[in-house]
Amino acid sequence: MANKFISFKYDPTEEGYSSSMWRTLYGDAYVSNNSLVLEKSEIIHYGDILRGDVSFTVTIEKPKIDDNIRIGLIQYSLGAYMYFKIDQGGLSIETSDGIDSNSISLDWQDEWSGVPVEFRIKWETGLITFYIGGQWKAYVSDSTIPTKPLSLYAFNDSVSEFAINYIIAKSIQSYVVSTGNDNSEFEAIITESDKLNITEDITSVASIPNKSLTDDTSIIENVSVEIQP
Amino acid sequence: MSNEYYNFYYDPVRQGYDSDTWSSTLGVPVISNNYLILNQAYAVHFADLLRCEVVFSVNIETPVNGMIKEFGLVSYNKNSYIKFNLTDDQLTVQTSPDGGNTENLETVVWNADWSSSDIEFKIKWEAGKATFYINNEYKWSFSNAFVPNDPLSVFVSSEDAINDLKIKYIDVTGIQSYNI
Repeated sequence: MANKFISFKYDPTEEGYSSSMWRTLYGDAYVSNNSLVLEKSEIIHYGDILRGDVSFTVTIEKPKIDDNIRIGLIQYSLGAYMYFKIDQGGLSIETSDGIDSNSISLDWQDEWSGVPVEFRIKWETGLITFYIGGQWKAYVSDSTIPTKPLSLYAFNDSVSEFAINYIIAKSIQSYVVSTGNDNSEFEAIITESDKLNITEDITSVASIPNKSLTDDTSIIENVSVEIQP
Repeated sequence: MSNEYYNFYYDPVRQGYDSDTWSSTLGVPVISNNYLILNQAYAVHFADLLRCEVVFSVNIETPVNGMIKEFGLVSYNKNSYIKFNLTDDQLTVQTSPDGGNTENLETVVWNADWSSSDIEFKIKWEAGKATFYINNEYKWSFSNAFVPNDPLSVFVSSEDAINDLKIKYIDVTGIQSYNI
């Protein structure tokens, strides 16, 4: 075990949103009202973290049925993660080592809605503990605990606004930041929510003078265009 | 022995391919379908590592004559290495501290289940010892003076154009010394 620990913070007011520190997989992430706002967006930090105590202070509305939000740590292609997830109107914590996965449902508390609340993940060897608003909520101590480095991760594919006020990562056993990402060559990633959907309902009612009511013209068009990669 | 370890990973989805992290000595790898693709290309990572455990998630078609693909750890000009080598239809694990003048080499029989699948090829590099695993199964271990003792870098290579070497991710953990 390391006897030297690393800590850092991310403050949108101080740092803004930088493509040299964050990879935007899709959508828009921008700083507004001193917070990092994710508008149908998915972002991954370039720091590689092995074990640590990470707190995301975020503002989320009360979960709705169409909401899809994740905050925590991930190694994307390996499929390893530990995060809080809001989906189908419910809140849960999820863990995976890339092979096995675990999920524990939690109850949403109304006092968390629409105000900054701390979502904390404490990642130790063989144990992950989840806290919300300073309260212990769940723990995982099984084979789904990742043993490889992960990165800060946030995802919002909801109509509800999702904003990160700040992130504090401390007691990190190993921290390496990949460099040179500004000039990386990427392929275009097109996800489900990136697909272009145009749906128009057009109703036109024209009344023509000196004609009877039966001459009224009604035109109804349903136009649906879906472009897929 | 170090009591502070470094760990990092390379994920093509997150990092893409950039010339500040990798040196392309042959061709230029590309990102496609979330993989780093090498076809007549050779890339060396700039980080200098001393002892570690490195996992390459690799997708290769069934080996055939004409294929020359390699991945592992290398010091390029010194030609010191710990690597998996696929030449024609033969897979070998190899180490050398001096460009093959003194070399460990052992053949590993290709398993049809590995073809065209994302398979983890792992090298565990310790002091005087290199152990090779595929799909979490032990394959071979060298424990002698022919295991490098100087810093090496992650590398991936596909010299042939017959088919692609596809890298899904690379995990490097337990590094005793790391410098970039």
